[in-house]
Amino acid sequence: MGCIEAVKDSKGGNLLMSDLDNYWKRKLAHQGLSRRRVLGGAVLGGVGVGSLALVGCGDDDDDEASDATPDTGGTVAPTPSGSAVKGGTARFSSANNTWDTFDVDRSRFTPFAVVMGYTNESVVHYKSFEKGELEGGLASKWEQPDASTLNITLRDGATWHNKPPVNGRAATSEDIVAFIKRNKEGKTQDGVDDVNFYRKGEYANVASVSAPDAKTVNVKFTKPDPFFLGTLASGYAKIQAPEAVKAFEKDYANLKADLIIGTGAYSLTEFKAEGSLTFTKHDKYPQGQNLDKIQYFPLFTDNAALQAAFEQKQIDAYGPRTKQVLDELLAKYAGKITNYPAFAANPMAGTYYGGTPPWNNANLIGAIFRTIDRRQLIQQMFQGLAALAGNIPPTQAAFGITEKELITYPGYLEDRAKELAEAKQMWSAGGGPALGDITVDIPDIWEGAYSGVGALITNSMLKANLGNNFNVKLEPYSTITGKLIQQKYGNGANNIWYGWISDVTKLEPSIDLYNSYNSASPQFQQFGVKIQKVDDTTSKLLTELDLEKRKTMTKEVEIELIKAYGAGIPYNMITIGNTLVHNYYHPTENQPFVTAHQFASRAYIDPKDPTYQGRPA
Amino acid sequence: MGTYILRRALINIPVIWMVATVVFFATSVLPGDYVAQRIAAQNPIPDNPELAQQQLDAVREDLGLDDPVGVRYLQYMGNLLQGDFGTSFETRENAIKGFMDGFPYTLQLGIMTLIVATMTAIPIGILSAIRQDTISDYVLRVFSIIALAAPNFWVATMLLLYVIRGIPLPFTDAEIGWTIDLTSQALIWEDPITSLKLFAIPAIAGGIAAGAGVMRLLRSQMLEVLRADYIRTAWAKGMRERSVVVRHALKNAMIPVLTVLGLQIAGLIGGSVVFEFLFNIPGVGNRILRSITARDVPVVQAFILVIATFVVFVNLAVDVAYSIVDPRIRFS
Repeated sequence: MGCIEAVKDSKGGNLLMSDLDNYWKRKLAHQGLSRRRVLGGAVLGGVGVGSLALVGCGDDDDDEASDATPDTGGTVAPTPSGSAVKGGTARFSSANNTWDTFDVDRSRFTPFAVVMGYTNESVVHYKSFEKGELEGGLASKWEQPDASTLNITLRDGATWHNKPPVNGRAATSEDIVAFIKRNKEGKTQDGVDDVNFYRKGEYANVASVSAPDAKTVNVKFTKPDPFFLGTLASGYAKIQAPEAVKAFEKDYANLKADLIIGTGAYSLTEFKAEGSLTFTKHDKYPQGQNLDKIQYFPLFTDNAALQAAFEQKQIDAYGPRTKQVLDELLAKYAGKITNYPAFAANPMAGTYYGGTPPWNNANLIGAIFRTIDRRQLIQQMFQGLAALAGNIPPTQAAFGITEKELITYPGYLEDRAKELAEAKQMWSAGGGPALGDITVDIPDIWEGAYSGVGALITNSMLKANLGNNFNVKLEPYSTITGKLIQQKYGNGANNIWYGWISDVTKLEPSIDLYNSYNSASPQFQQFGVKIQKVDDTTSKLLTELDLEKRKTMTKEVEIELIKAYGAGIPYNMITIGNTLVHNYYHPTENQPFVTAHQFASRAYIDPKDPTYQGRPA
Repeated sequence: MGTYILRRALINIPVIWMVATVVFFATSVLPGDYVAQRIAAQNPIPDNPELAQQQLDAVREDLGLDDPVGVRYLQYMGNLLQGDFGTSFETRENAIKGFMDGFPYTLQLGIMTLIVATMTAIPIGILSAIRQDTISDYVLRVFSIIALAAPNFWVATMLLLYVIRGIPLPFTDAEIGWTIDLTSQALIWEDPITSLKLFAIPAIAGGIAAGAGVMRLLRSQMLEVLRADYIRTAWAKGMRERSVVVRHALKNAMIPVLTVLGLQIAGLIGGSVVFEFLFNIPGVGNRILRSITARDVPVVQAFILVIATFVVFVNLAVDVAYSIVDPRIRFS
């Protein structure tokens, strides 16, 4: 793969993502429950490695404020090295995945983004997600001669999988052009606008794209776009062969392995929707790959069976759901397995509409915000295996404030007595007692995962401190989304909701901050909390090319949002998931929707490792 | 007899139609449709609310969920008459395909469970009856009560955790365990040893529980039959105990037991949800549970319809078998 050449913008700023602040390294203990596993979301079961445990830099000042339990063992981080061993089949269990389509441009389900990470390449991808380092995927290099131009050079030797109608031909720059054009236009071949091109907005800034020769792509923007490389590196930005799109566009919903044709390290040779997937190495992948095959077995419906399969080495990775199981396994197999913790994709938060009463009253919403005991929830729900989250969760730590700073703000104070007393005063001052009963919508699947926590929040926290009846109402997510869109969490209704919110899929929060909190954004209508400084700063973010300046600006925005009690999205925490792997298996980073491509270069099985003994053939 | 069978078969048709109707409407009123369950949960806070709603509406239209329930019912019934069970929302395959894929596993587990049940229930029931009020009778009855009382999901979980993970031997580092391949899910004709190892534990756990009820029924029936005049006559004639018990008493005592076994056979097709779930066996029970959770309504409807059809015809078969076992029974 080609090295990254110096990539600078016209002002000399660096377009690469820089190292992340990893003060969470010492926060990460074990265990956790991946919401994806519960929901049937993105993760294809125990795939990767806890990225946030690996980075050496960090903010030492955070230790005193830590509430998380310390590591209890076995968190040695693997490093890809020349000792990688070729050959072997990695085996994992699938999660309860949902598939919408095999057309990645029109998919929104992260399980499929993971599949495409094995089979198809992006123009650029993350060499290291935790460090935010990009490298070329299909590109060998890229450069920006000016702020509105991006030139991409295709790497040598890129070849499509040998499946009809592409039949193993060499990739060309026209393939990348077709990909960008398709996502920009958002139309099917018959010229009809298709709402399923979900990421059309991310390509809206592309003025033109062309291929002057078979190796070069020229992209011109209508205005400087600091985020386009991130878009090209995202989980869904996978290049498909134009002739395959033409042949299969109407057939993609039929979910067959033959429909997925890429230039990636692995070809999908078997697919069953219940979770049987087999990826076989692509012989013409120029960089080569370590593993011969990657196999996913159908969902283990019971966690005890999954655990038994892991202990018998029938699968190579396993994510314990409880701290007790995690600790037990680490003790039982000390020195033989390694734990890779990582933040879950979905923060826990609620939302409300703050444009009108009752929740436009800062005293009322602030009282609720401050009364919820985040630390108690972390302990009770996750036995300490979660982290406090502000409006920029720790997953995007480089762009958010540190925990040390976070806990100085109301809602995150360590002095709970003060927090509750002031919350009560705020509630009274805002006329809270007169509000009467308040309904707290809880997603039914969330309650299913954390039974009784809804009542803990409403009775033991909110009612106990504020006095009103806070009533739990279980609702499916579709109802919650519908109410969100219709501004029904507030806007005259004594109603809020609490649960998982949308997953974090980008390294940088700038676009999401604009979308959620800038009053010019369509999504803002769901929350309605206008803060002029947030408007101004998020508008500037969209055109700020200097990464360090963007980091400063996002932190400023986060502080304003926290001071406004979430400004529509009161964040609470983000869970920490743990993946145990046998030491013979050396995994990838644990951000599979953007790092599945690392299976080619990082993942390998070492049959000489003592723990390999007893692994079934 | 032929007339009786034909008449019963014809009566079964409206029964099946009623089941199809009830299932259709019951699944239509489940809270949260497939779109709600899966798609909205993926992205609860959409970037563009209007677009999100358009997308949800488009998916609903694609899946046929936007039609009124009456229209959907008529389409469903019309398709059924043509043998079309619909298309799975999740896999995009024929809704009945999952049943066909899962049935071999369910059948194998069911047959093994039934074998264990009969092999435990019949000898134990007989022994307990002929040795009434002895130590062995008390032991066997306690055993059957424990087998009946212990929840099968608990038994299965304990077996999974302790037998498969291994029971540590005291004062040593060794463990006794039973290694089974939880990933291969082989059927007996594909890999007999691996398959038997996987299915043995749930079959034993389920068979003992099912057999316990049969054992108690058989015991009570045997006690009643053993007090009959013809049995006393057989004893008086000097027949051996084995001959009296097996050739005379058991045959009569088995009639109601057949009913219970027949119902268990009918229940086979629905699969043991608990054991299939715990042991990761991709049978009918496991699949239908997943489909219900996912609100994959065509699959749920297809599965229930097939199961209901099987049950009504197995009941007919059991009734017919009655007349074979007991010549006194004649149908008109």
